[in-house]
Amino acid sequence: MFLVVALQAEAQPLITHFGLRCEAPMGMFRIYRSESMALVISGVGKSLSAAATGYLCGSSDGWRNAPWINVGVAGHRNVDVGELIVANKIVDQSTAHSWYPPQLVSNVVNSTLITVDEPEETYPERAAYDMEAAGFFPAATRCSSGELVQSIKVISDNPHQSIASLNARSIKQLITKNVSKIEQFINRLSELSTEIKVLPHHGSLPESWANRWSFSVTQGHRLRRLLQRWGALIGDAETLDSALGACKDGAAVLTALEERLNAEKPTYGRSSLVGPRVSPMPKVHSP
Amino acid sequence: MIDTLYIEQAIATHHRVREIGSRFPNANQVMCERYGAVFNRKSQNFRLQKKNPSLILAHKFDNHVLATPEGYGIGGRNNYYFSHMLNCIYDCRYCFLQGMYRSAHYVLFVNYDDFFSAMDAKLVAHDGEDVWFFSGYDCDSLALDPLTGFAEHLLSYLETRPHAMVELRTKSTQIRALLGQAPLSNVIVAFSLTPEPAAVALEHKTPSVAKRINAMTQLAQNGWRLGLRFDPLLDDVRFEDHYQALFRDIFDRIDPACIHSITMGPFRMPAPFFSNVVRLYPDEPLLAGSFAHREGLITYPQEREAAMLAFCLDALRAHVSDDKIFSCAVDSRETVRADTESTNSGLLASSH
Repeated sequence: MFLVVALQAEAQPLITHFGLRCEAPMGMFRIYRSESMALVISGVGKSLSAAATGYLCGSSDGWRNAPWINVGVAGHRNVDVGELIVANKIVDQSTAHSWYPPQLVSNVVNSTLITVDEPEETYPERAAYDMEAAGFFPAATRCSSGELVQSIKVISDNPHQSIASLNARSIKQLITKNVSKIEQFINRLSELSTEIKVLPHHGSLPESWANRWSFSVTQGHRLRRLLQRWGALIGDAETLDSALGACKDGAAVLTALEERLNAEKPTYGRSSLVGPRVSPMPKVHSP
Repeated sequence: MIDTLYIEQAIATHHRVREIGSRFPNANQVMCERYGAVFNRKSQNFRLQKKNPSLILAHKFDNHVLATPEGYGIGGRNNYYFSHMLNCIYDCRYCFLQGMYRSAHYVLFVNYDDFFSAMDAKLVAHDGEDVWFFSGYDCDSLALDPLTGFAEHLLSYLETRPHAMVELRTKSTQIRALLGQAPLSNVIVAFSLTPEPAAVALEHKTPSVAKRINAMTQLAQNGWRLGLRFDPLLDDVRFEDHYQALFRDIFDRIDPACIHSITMGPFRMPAPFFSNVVRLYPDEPLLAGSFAHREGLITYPQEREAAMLAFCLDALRAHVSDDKIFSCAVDSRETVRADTESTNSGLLASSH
């Protein structure tokens, strides 16, 4: 789970709530982490938001197909201060470019979110206004699937409550009041992300395999698919071990696996919508 | 049902957009320039979106009616297909759409009349000849009909075009529009069927096979001509038992005289689509089976495919004559219709 936040005041309630700790040494951007979450403070503006997203990605593991959320405050013409909105359309005002974050989480308030270069004080459209989302979204969708990349904003100002009245304290209060809603949203995205967890690539094959056989890059790709098939059709590590026991080299492993799998009788089988959603890489016993 | 409704700005005031919008008063309406900005965007996951698809209302500007791949058809010489919708409310694990599209959102093209104009143009081009139009290639023809009302408009159009032959292909039981009017001899309502165990395991959110047969029975009783589409044929260790039972269940209820045509097509999918689907569902046993790579398609091994087709052909011959049976297999056409000029092959597997 990755959070991209513009201001320290916006971030502080999240840092406290999720028990994040500041990472040292500090680089281009300040990063806070726990075991399951990382938060970067980008500074104000879409360019910094895009840069901070990339920086957080580059300094983290497990970023692919993880949830990426831009959290912050925004103005809105029609929504009360303190309300939480999720952007279902992000517009870069300076280029008129639009993005449409797919909305899979129900029962949230959605809004168009217009990213502006200067604070918006007249709210000309029925939309929320921020200064980061149009930088964050295209950068974060290089790391993850669009469904898991979302901008959520707490409304901080509107025609009745000027942006001029905002300060660090009031921003902290606004985020703090919404932190449980933000957490619910984060949890829902986390659940969704488990559906498309990326399978380990060739580099993380069981160590026992690497010691026993070597595989070229091409063989590695083929092996990965064969192991996927094994997991889907047979899923029994002991059988796998016995099927490969006599193999002398990587090529023989591939042949043995393929022959064994092709001998498997076809069956309509269980639905992939039932049971575990992610095929674990089979465990292989050491020789 | 639909939480988010994307609407192309240019058609925001179209009467059909208003009507459909009013059916989802609680949905968020999001305006977009063109549907492709939502639908074709990179970094989307079909599997995730299938959990809560949105509806996109769009205008189709061109290519309303396209020629089918050479050889595809059910006995006609002039064959075209059209798609007033993209994507399907069902979630069949063998469906090529999940490998073809990045998005699982439903796209509905609301300018129905432009499809009919394009069909008219084909009728003119083949003056005096029957022209076949296949619906249900990129969507299920009837599944969302209570919302779209497309069938009613199409039937009305077809009433005065006897040379326009239409196949509506479906797994749904949404047949109210058909039952509400006199049958048309130029419409074939074609039901896609797999054995019940396959349907349970692989055809998520679809009506049961029994319900589909029940819908077919009602249509037949009302004089509509039916098609049976065993496409894809899906292999199983008990393939013969399962398909024999399916054929028995159908012909116990349906008079073979009501059957216009039967098509069979063993599972096949373009290799790039197959790779995409495997990426989406790496733990799906169906996709982990033993397949061959032929002519750019992932198929069952040729020998097995031929055996599956031969078995089904033999079993179906007990109920209908050969001239009603067509194959969509990659290279096994001769197996089924060696005596017929009009064989078929092209249109992809995994019908709706």
